[in-house]
Amino acid sequence: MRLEFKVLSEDEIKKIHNTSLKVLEQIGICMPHPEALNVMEKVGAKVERNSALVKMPPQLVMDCVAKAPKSVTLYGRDPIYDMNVKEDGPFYGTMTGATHFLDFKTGERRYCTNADLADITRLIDGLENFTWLAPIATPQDVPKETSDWFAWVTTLKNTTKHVVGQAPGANSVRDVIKMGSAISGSEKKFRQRPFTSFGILTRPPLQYSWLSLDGLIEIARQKLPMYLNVGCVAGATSPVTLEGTMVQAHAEIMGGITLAQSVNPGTPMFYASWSRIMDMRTGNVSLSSPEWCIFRLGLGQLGRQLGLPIRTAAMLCDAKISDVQAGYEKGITTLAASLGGDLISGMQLDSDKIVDLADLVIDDEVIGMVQRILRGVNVNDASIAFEVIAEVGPGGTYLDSMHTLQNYRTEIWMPKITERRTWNVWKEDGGKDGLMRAKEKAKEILASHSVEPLPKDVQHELDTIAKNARLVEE
Amino acid sequence: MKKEDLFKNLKKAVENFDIQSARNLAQRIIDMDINPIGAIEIGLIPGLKVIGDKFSSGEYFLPELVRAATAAKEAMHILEQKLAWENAKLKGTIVIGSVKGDIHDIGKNLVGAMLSAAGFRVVDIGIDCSADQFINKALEVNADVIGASSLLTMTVSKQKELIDRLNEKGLRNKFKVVVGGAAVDPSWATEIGADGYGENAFEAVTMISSLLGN
Repeated sequence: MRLEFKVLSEDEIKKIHNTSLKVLEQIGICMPHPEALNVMEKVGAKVERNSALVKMPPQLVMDCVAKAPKSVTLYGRDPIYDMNVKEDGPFYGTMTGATHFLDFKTGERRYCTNADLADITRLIDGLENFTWLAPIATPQDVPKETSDWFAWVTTLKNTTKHVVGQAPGANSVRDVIKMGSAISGSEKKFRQRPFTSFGILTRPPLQYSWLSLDGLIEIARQKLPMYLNVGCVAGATSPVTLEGTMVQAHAEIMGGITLAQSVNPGTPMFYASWSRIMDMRTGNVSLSSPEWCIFRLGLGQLGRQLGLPIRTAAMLCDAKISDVQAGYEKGITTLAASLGGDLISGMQLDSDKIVDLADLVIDDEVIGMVQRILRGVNVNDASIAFEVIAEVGPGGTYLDSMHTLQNYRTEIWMPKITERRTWNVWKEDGGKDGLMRAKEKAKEILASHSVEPLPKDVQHELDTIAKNARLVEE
Repeated sequence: MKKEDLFKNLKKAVENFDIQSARNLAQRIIDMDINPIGAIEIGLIPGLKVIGDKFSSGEYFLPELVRAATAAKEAMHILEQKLAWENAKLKGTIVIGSVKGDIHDIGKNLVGAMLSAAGFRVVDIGIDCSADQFINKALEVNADVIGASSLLTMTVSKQKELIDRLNEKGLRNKFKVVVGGAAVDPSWATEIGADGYGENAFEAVTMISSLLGN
């Protein structure tokens, strides 16, 4: 049985959904991009050109939602990393956009460089429980305006897993297609198995920026998978009541789907939920609060009701370092998010600003635990083991039974870095804490795992695309 | 009503985050031709101080602070019509905005609220502001400080552009320039020659106060 953790009843889902449609119809979304306005007007939305406000009739919205594919496959550069997202998920990967790195040797917090990103990506490529990734950090030693391009290139060079990235404007999308085509050998080959997908940000409340719309329209035109990343901040850019934030977030996502499907019906889309709260003491956004978990679950239910695959996030910690706070934040949020999404991003500290290699290893372990929980149980004649119970009988032992031997590897999760030995054995072996063990594991993987380098001419082409990139603004 | 009572009620309106009353009282003060400086020095600033103290002690949090600051800001907007700023005993004037291409403003708004609470005149020029917009407003209001905010790594270079533009116009020494926002680091602030950097809204107030010798 697929595990579920519901925060909304069916009636509550309906009420929120209908209110979101009302928001789109009566309040509208601001879409300050001439092409977006033209498209929306053509399909029957009410467009106020002066304010770029677009009001969408509910039928239009639902017709467009119906056009979005209900099943999406994301391809890896290596076919072993292909993902039938809804059917076989959840699948875990990384967030984007961290700026800092905890230096692996000194522990010093410093700017993340392009070389760091290469190492980080290579490590993630070697972590079993991550099946896809995004450029987890934006290199700070490259031209700032086009840093996303460099992030794409470095990531694509260092992994054969599917890569999800940002799309600052239409030409960034076209440039990434060029990168993918260079790697695949031709655009035709790339399009048969595209191993990139793109995220678009909204600007709550109820707005898109010109740059996001430019990217959205191009991704739709190219019919590549798109994530409508809606990061409402409850109490600041959306209602402080979690229910009100869900209404607004759901409306913003559906608004984006309506535009994308109107540009190109059948564009693969993810319902991407990032709603969070503002910590009212510090003014900082929290990406691991209890409310985070409620949003992941509630918005997950709302997305499922539309039939769409869902992207969300977990394992992002408010903790500045991989300490006990990081532990409990990770533990709680990962389980909640995993029950509300198909593609789960995470793996940063200090909300979403710091990358630590040891922390990634810990994430890999946490995912392993959560995946075991999600696997749940399968009650059938074999698993209920009546015959085995009878055979072992009262007072017997199961440890040497054939049934145990044949099934323990799949039944009992085996940790990679979790300490379970007795105290004395642990102490004699150095008494290392979780972080130290994770660091050692990270070191091991970095020393042993490699990604086959792309041919030199392909690497050169990717570098050239990044060097010549231009951020085209309105 | 006597003017002392009007000022007292204005202070109360700020303390009660009562935006409508603050507006109404400010309008009455203007209509009765009362010098608005008293309204600011006896009404708004002490009201904001009460809020600020409760925030520091943990009784109030950001929603109270921001709403009270909004009440004060709206009253100020009305009072400004008849105000000679040079006579107001304020700690300084600061122009704040988010740089070109950046539409994030929560942090900037928080900084503005806290600076107002601390007794500064805050002129907020909004989001997506060009270097010239910062500079022209700073000249217009005779600012002491220009504060530029950037949340995106993509837009942070605009903070350097602002400083370059000030240099170009021979105005660099006329204003202190401070920077902040999630995309900013102390080393960036140093690199571009900013006068100050605030990690968060609290630090911003302390830093700006000390820059102006308070």
